Amino acid sequence: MDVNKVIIELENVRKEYHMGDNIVNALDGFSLQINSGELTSIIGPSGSGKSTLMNIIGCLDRPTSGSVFLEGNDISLMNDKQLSRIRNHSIGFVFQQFNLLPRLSILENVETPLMYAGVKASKRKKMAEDALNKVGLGERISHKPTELSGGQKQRAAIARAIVTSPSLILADEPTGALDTATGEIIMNLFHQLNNEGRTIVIVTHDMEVSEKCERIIRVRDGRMEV
Amino acid sequence: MFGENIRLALKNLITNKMRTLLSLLGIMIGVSSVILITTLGSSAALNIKKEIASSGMDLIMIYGGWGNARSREIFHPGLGEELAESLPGVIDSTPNLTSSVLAKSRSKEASFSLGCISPSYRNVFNIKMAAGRFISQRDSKEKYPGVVLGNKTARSLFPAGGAVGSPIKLIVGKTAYQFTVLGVMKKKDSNMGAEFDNVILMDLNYYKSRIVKVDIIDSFFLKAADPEAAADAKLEIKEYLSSKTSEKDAFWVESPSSISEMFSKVTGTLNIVLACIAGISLLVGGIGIMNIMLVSVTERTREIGIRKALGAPPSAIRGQFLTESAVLTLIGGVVGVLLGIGLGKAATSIMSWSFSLVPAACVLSLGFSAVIGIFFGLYPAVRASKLDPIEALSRE
Repeated sequence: MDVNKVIIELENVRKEYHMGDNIVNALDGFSLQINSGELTSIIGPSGSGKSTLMNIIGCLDRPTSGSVFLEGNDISLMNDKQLSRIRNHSIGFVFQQFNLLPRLSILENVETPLMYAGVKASKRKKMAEDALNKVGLGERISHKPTELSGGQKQRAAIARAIVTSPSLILADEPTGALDTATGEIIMNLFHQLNNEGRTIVIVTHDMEVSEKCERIIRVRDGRMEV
Repeated sequence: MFGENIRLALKNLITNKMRTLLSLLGIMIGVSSVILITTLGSSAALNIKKEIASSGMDLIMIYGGWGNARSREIFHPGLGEELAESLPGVIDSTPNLTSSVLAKSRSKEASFSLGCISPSYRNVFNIKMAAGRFISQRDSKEKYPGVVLGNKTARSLFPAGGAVGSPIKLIVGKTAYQFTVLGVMKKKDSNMGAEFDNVILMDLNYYKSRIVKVDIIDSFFLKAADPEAAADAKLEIKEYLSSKTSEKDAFWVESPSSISEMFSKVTGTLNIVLACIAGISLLVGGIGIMNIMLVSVTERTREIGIRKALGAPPSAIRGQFLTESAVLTLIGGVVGVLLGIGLGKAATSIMSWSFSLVPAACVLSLGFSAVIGIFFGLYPAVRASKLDPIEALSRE
């Protein structure tokens, strides 16, 4: 992987929300560049705009103004269908609450993004098993998420995030629902994945988590703190 | 993806068994009532047709019109056979020459109506014998002096019973003829002017060669293949006979086909009523499905958000929910069809009708319930596909 390749670039991004008659500037001219192979943390208190930032980086939302380039493509110009395709191919999400689909088995959960990518069923299973092995969850893959511990659920979620080999893994408070020891293990897993060359962005309000990352971006009042 | 959606849909429906069942109730009741009503309708029709056939709805009668004497070209003894051979709608026939006769057994004597007919008479009128046998083709060919008695005739001439095989004298003009009683018919209501209880039946062949030489017959009874064919056959006969004579009103051809026409009109009305019932119940069922699908979408907002984050395009979300509602209504349809068949079987067996299923009704209601599922599932599915992923993900 080209180490200096720009994965995502935000140029003077503004995001406004209408709250009744008031306009809230969640992001107020934010610029940012994340390169391939980086392990970045975005830290800020609640209300700082970091969630909005994460939604825009994750291609879940479009900015009010400014541009967002993901691997050179301007996502601020894309429609819902194109955005869903970008999310499927280029972004792997890891959530605080794991967000596994409760009715599906762990294996089926990991297969889901591949299904939307149009991968054949037989190939899908193999790829999902490989991803689960990589996060150390080779067993219990036919269990439902409710039968797993928090740490195991987060491993499954990480397996689901890496299964499509996305350009960017975007984790939102990935250790927030875990105890300290388990959180440590999950952070080690992120480091391991980063050492293998994956680009990872962790959004958090936890300084301890943030300090384990090589690059820290602080957000306050919709702007980057220098 | 489609197979995936079906699997997902079944999984969801099984998880919420009770709700699935309740939401299906509308479609189930709708479909089963359609099947039940069509089954009852077609079983009733079958039964009525059978009854009509046994009571002579398949009969056609030819007799002389207002004109002059019956023409030799038309009313010759072989007319029945001629028509049966040349018209496919006519399957059997008998001539019918009536007069009255004085009959004497050993102990009694009385006047009766004498019917000179052919052995086919038995088939044309579905004659059932109480005792003995009917006049056979062989009797006719060999000119055997045998007669068949109506039920009342037998009782008045042979009050002590034992009519079959007994000798009987018939006085025609001033001559007495000796006959043997071949059989006695069961009681039977009169039909199109033919009477069965107070009669003595004799083979026409015997009558015209041994008693009175005749070459013009009063009337003919013909049997059509079935009640519906009778109306067509009637027209064919009219056309055929018209070509034989230029005389107006030389003949009358009658059949109870007007009743048959009325019957098909009633069936037609029944079908319209049925279609209305089906439409209304499926509409109500469909609204129920829409309601439950909207609940399902609301409940699974978070799931939709997750799927969107994982890259599901709007079309995939729409497809998932559409498949779910189509599968839901299709299950309702299948259960409804089975339920309808079961109820139909029970109802027909209670009324001791023969069971007759309408396959088209089953196929149509299954197809229609799937269409209802897609139609009423469309709005909830589109709503699901348009959910904002960020908002959906933040929902508990």
